[in-house]
Amino acid sequence: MEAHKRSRDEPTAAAGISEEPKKKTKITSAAFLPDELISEVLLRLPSKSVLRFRSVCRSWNRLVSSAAFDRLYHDRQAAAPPCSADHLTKFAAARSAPPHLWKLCDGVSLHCDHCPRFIGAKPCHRGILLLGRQCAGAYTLCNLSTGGFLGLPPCRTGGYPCTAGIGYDSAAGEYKVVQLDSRMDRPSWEMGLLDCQVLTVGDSRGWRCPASSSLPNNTRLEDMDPVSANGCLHWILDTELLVRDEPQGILSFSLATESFTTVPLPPFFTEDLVPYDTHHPFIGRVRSAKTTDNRMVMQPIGTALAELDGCLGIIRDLRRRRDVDGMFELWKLKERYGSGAAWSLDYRIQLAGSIGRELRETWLVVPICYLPSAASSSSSQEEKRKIVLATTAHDAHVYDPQTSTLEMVASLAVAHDNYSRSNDDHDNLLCMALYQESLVHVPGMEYGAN
Amino acid sequence: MASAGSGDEKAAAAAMITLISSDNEKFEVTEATATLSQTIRHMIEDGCTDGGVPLPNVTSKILARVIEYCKKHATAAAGEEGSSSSFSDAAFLEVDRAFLEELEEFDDAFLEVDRATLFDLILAANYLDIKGLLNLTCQKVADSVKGKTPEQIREMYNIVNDLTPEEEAEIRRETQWAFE
Repeated sequence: MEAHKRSRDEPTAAAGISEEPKKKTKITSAAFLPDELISEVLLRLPSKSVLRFRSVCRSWNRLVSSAAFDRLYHDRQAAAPPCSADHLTKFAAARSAPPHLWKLCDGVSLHCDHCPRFIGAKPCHRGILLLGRQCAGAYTLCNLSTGGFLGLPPCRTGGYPCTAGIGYDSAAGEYKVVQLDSRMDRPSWEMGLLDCQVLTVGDSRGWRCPASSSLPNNTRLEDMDPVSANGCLHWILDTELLVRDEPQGILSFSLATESFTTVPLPPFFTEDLVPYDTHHPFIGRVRSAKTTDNRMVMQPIGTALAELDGCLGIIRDLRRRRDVDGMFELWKLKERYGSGAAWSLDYRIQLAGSIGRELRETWLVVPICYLPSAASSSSSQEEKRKIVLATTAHDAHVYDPQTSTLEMVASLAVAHDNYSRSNDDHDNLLCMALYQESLVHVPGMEYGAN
Repeated sequence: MASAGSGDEKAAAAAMITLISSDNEKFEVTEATATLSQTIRHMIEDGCTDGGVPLPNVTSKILARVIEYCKKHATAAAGEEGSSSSFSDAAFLEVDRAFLEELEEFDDAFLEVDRATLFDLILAANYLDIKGLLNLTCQKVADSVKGKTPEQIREMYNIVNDLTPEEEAEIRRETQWAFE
């Protein structure tokens, strides 16, 4: 809402021109608008128009090419999420390749799903998305609004799970792509031991080891995309690790220092572990583990990380809990990681009866962003904000807490039918990303075919 | 034109502000209407509105339109404030929706002006710092130029192309895809 602030001190800048007589010629040559206001108009255009209008004249070119305009434009795009149902259809999904196998090592192959796909639910800094074919270690940086793409050097893939993500190091002004995969190529193959490779976009060194430190010992991850927040990428650790030790729970990779730390989970996490239930409707997808005293427990299936208002968030799945009210809770990590107490409950999603069936039946529900409330929002109204949710059924919905209703605003089911797979048992990935207008040109980007 | 609308008579008794256009026409408006303008809001807060607020950059023709906009939207803002107390009342939400639709229709009709007036409204909205109006009017201009070529823009707005052929060719080369 307040993405752009204009100087209030000098209204006279506008004054001179408004007084210019316009009666004779209707518009004189100088009477378009002062630069400040041309900027206000251009900020409201799709990036393609903005860049095309660099050719209008020297002052427009200078304006559009300025760092100030660039910052205003992208801040505005990031801060003004799609407000009307009409704009909310702007999610991007990649066209899937024909069915193929993901060769892990000699004799071991997996069926490779949703390939290629956009990694992560939200664009990285200034609207950039990462398109990945993880089976081939092939990643592409995309600006969907300009059609610009940059193929990254191939990354060595070792095995599965293999997870990658993109983040932005704002201090250095660099995009970095990070891949974690289990090292199945080791002589003594230790299940789950991870290997990290980092690539700074535009760096001729290509893929390399992270600068600072290696991964904590015995790190194993859930098969999910990392979430970028606070200058770090975040992954949830494997359930099995959570029941053993003091549950740190979240692996965090700093894009600036390229070092790993762990972050504690919110207090509800261990509380939510329930006895293993073979009649669970999602038994094929349940993340289970054995506790130290040999009990089988499982985690609610919908636990996922998210980024909300620039903070790291986690979604608490209460869909199978009859003793707790609501369907989901969103918890936010307000402070930088210090103690476990930094987590706080931020938002509740409550839907009753037949409303919300779409959220009840999908594996993951990932919060995308809050929508600014129409009224001048005071802090007391924060919890009244609507929220955009994406699901692994490839739909997006808007939840309105005031009316307790759900409205579908995007569905990518059709886009996914090109090569529909025989079963959806492992649809734990969103495969859709929020679209954001972007002017970014990364050196080396090509334009043309999709 | 300058008289107060029917909706805000009650508030009018409390506080009226006089706005004076560049051609010296006086407009009496309620404080609620006037304070949609951040510029005027600050003047009120600083207590310097006695004797009227001179607006040397805004003609009476444009000021009348701006006031028309502010009146409508001030009523809307008042409605929303009232709404927070009657939370999640289904009937109220229906009314709310109808009102928002009406507001949208008003905005659409409001923008049915010639280009010179639209630009004057933008300048006034900027000078008076009325966010909603600035957004509305700038978006209108943006929508009207969105699909145009640079040549069409220059023609529409009488902008002289001062780029050298070499500079223009260079920019075109960098943004070739934007022309496809």
